[in-house]
Formats: sequence, C-alpha cells, structure tokens
Amino acid sequence: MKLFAVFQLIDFPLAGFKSALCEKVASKKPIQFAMGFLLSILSSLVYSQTTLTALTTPIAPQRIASLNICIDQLLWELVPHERLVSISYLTADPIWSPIAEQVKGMPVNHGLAEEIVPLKPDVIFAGEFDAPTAIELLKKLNLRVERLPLPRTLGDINTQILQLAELVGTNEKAQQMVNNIDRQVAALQTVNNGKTPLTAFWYSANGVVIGDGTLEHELMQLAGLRNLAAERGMFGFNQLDLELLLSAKPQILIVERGSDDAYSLAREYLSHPALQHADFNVVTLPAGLSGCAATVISDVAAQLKNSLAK
Amino acid sequence: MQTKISFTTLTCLLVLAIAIASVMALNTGLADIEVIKGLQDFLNGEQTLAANVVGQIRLPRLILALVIGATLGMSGAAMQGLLRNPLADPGVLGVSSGAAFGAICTLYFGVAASAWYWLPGAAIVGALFTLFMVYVLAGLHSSMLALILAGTAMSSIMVALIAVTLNFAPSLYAMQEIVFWLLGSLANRHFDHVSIALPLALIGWVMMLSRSRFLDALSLGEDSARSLGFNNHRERGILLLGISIAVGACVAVSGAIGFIGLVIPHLLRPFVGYRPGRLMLASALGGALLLVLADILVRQFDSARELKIGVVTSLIGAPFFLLLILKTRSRWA
Repeated sequence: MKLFAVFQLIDFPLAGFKSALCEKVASKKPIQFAMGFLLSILSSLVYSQTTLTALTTPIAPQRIASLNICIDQLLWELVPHERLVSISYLTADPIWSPIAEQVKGMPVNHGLAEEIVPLKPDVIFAGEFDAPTAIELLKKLNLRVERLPLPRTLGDINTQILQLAELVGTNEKAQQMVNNIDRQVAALQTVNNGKTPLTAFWYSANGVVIGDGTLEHELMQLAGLRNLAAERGMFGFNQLDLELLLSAKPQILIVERGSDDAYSLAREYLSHPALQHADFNVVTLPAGLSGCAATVISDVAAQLKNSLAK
Repeated sequence: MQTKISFTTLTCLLVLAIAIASVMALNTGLADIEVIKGLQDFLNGEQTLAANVVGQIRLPRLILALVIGATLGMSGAAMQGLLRNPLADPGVLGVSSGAAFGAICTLYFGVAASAWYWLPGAAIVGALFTLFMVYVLAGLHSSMLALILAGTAMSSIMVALIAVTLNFAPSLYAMQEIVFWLLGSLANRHFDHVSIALPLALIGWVMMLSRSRFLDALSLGEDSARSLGFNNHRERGILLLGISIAVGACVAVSGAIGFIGLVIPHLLRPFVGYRPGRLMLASALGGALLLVLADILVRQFDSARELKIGVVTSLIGAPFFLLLILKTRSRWA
C-alpha cells in the first residue's frame, strides 16, 4: 500500500505538468510535446505494473491464461472457470480435446503474445515445449510465466497435478484427483495377483506397438501383463509388421478408441480382418493417454482393470 | 525389333510368369508359416495362425497387386491407342491423381462410410473428369507436347487439391497420408479392398477389351476408323468410361501407383505386331506381373518403414519415360 501511495504522489504533479505542457507547447514545439507525452505515459505504465506485482504476489493468481491443451484440461477441473481468461484454441477443438463442448465460448489463444498481453493475466501456464518465442516475449513484458514439464511416468503425473495446484492455490481438489489416480492404480495392481502373467501388445494407430520407457508399458506392468514389445527389445513407439504381431501370439491386444470418428489410413490398421480372426482378447481403452495423460489416466486404469478381470 | 513369338505364346509365357511370381509372393512375408497348410486351413475355414496370415494378409495383397497391375497396364495401352500417343499413361496424365482426389474427398470426410458406392464412385468421377479434361485440352491435336503439358497441368492441379483436402481433413493423421495417395501402397490392404476394386475393375476391363477392334482401326486415323463403320464418338466415350472405372476403383484402394501403364505397353508392343487391340490384353498381363514383382521387392526391406510400392514403379518407370522422350524427340511438334 505504501508503494501505491508513493506513486500516486508522483503521478499527480506529473498530470499537472502534462496539462500545462499541452496548453503551452502544443502549437509551437510538436516534438517536445510528443516527448513529454510519451514520458508521462511511460511513467504511468511503470506505476501500474509495479502496483500490480506489489499487490498480487502473496495471494493466488485470479486471472489465469494457458497455452497448453493439457494444462487447460487440468485447470478446467481444478479452478473455477471464471478465473480462466484464455485457453489454447486446441482445447476448443473437438478433434484434440475431450472437453471441447464444455469450453465453448471461452476466449482462446493461438500461442501468440499479442493475444495474451491485453488480457493482463496474473499468470500464464505453458508446457515444456510450447511457443518458445511467445513465452520469451511475455517474460520480457514482465508477465509471470510458469512452464510445467510433461509427465513421462505415473509418478510424474501426480507431481504435475500437485505442482499446478500449488501455483493456483487449489490444493484440496488436486489432492482428490491424485488420490483417485492412486486408488485406480492400486486396484489395477490387484487384478492379476498371483496368476501367470498374460502376454500382450499395446497396439495403436499406424501399426505402432508401445515398448519400454512409456506410460503404457508402466500400466501393463502394473496390471501384471507381459509387454511383448518390450520383450522384443523395443523402446518407446515402434511400428511392428502385422505378420510378426500375429506370429508372436499375444493373449491380449490393447487398443485405444479413436479420439474422433474421422477416417484415416492410420486407424485402418486397427480394423484389419486378420486381427478379428486371431484368437486373442481385444481390450479397448479410452483415447488420450498419449495426449493428456493426467486427465484420463484414472479412467484408463479402471477400464483396463475391468477388462482384464473378466 | 523383329520377333517371332506368336500372341498365344506370349500370353502363355506371361501367365506362367505370373503364376510363378504369385507363388513367390505368397511365400514372402515375415511370419514363419507353412503357406500350403495355411491355404488349406483358410479354405476349410479353420482359424489357425497360418490360415490367418496367408488368407487375410498375403492373399488379398496378391489379388490386389494382380488386379491393379492389370488395370494400370491395360489402361495405359488403351490410352496410348486412343490418344495415338506413346506418352499417355494414367499416372503421367493425372488420371490417377484425379481418382485419388475423389477417393480422399469421400474417405476423410466420412461420406464413404455411409454407403459402399461412394468411395469408388467418387474416385471414378475424379478419374473421368481428369481424363476428359486432358483429352479435350490436348487429345484432339495428338501433339505430344500439348498432351504432356495438359497432363502435367491437370496432374499438378489434382495433387494440389489432394494436399488442400488432406490439410482440412478432420483426422490428425491425414496430412502424413498424402504419401500413400501420391505414391501408392499395398501394405495392409485386405479383402474389403478387394471387394471394392475387383468387380469394378472387371467391368472396366470388359469395356476396354470390347473396343479393341476400334483401337486397331483408329491406328489408321480418325477418318479411316469412321469409314470402317465405327461411331467414333460413342466408341471413344466407352473407352474413356472404361479406363476411368477401372483406374478409379483401383486407385481408391491403393493410391496412385505410377508408370506401369507407360512402361508395360512399350515393352510389349513389338511382340503383338503393334496392334493396339491385342496390346491391351498383353499389357494387362504384363502390368500384373510387374506389380506383383515390385510388391515382392518392397517386402524384402525393413518392414517397419515399408517402401511405398509406387516408389519402386516410379524408379523403374521414370528413367524409362526419359528414354522415351529422347527417342521420340525428333517427332515433337
């Protein structure tokens, strides 16, 4: 408050000087007049920004902008929606986002600084790799930008949720989310207790199987499945020939539902008749694990458990 | 080139070669299975691994290679006869790209799912439109330069339209799949695709082959054909439609595989006494043989990032195309 008062004191004489300047110089010395005018605007800008940071740092940010579709989805669950001043345009696009319907009418951004600055957000969230140039620019304009790393393991997901919640001040809700995920994961671990592990492939679009070092692999391990892709020495996402997939004779084939009904050759791999004529069980899980894991992980874990328990 | 082989001998040799290539194709693949047992199991309806691999993966792929190769070979021969121009080919003149554009419009925007006829129908319309445009723009003069220019222009337009359409397609994968449509592939095709391509290709073949006498007459010139009693307009229309139906149905399931229709008729022309009518049948057999062999070749490499079959046919075909231009340069208008 002290700072605020000081600046008011400074600003008053300045305002007086400005009006005097207008009367005296406007007609004779336009350059000097313009310089003076600029000076007064600059000083008022400095004043407003200083007061802003001085006033809002201690309490949770009220005006939140986000450049990342995944952070958007988490924020949508964690904070009251009126606190979100801008979300990524991808979040409003039904192809990419499961909450596109719900966020209709929300102001969106395309990762451009000029869309964010006029909204005067208290904090801007971005993912690890989002719009680096825009973020640099926003930082130069003295806006607060928080970058969150992408989750790569189950543990990372909970860390990400709690970290985000800490920053926006909604720890309770986040703890509920984390507890829910922990519960589903724990339930998944009981599904194959003591039995011989079943062999499985996690088969996704374009004939890609998912190997070691992935969230999917971690889930399969927890569910007591032997990931045949990892056993072949595959790391991450790899294409596997359909004939080799069938020859490996997995007992379970895990596929994800499409995030949309749109046709693509990539998804045609999953409807090949040879898969229907083979004698494994197909487990279909909700889409989106490779997109925004944090929001779908508990659903995926629950469905995987239910399908395997049958 | 002087040749002493009769047409019957040539046909028999080609059929024999196709049979051998087909056996090789069925034995090509990464799964370690017994092909004969797999075929038996498949025909008896038993669900073994061998039956599944042979019946659901390798057999439809082989059938498609045969049907598409034959279609492209025959269409190339028919177009060269019709336009009386050795550089005509569904790929070079953009007919395949037109068909691919039609197919993409219906597939990626969900129309194809509503009824079976949309996909081949749109591809056939795309092929027919392009072929008609090229024919109107250049065919009447039978100048090689005009034909190639018109074909190149139509082809570029169609490729651009394909890119635009895929760009706006709702699927996330659409843009990457432009490679499939421009180069063509038989990877992971199955019996649903055979059931789209085969019946329509057969109709197209019958339409083309039924006009073989007209093509023979046309090689003497428009007026001679008319004086021999042919209704040139009607005959031409049937040929154009036949080419479009066959090419459209094939491209709709495999993408645009290039240059088969250019290379094969040229290689076989001396063996059929330079008769365009006979050339169509011979080119169909030759095209089928070439595509099956090309498909065996692409399956020899790293399966994960399979080489598109159109790459192989283009690598064979494009230098051939250049050679042809060099040879015919003196005749250019």
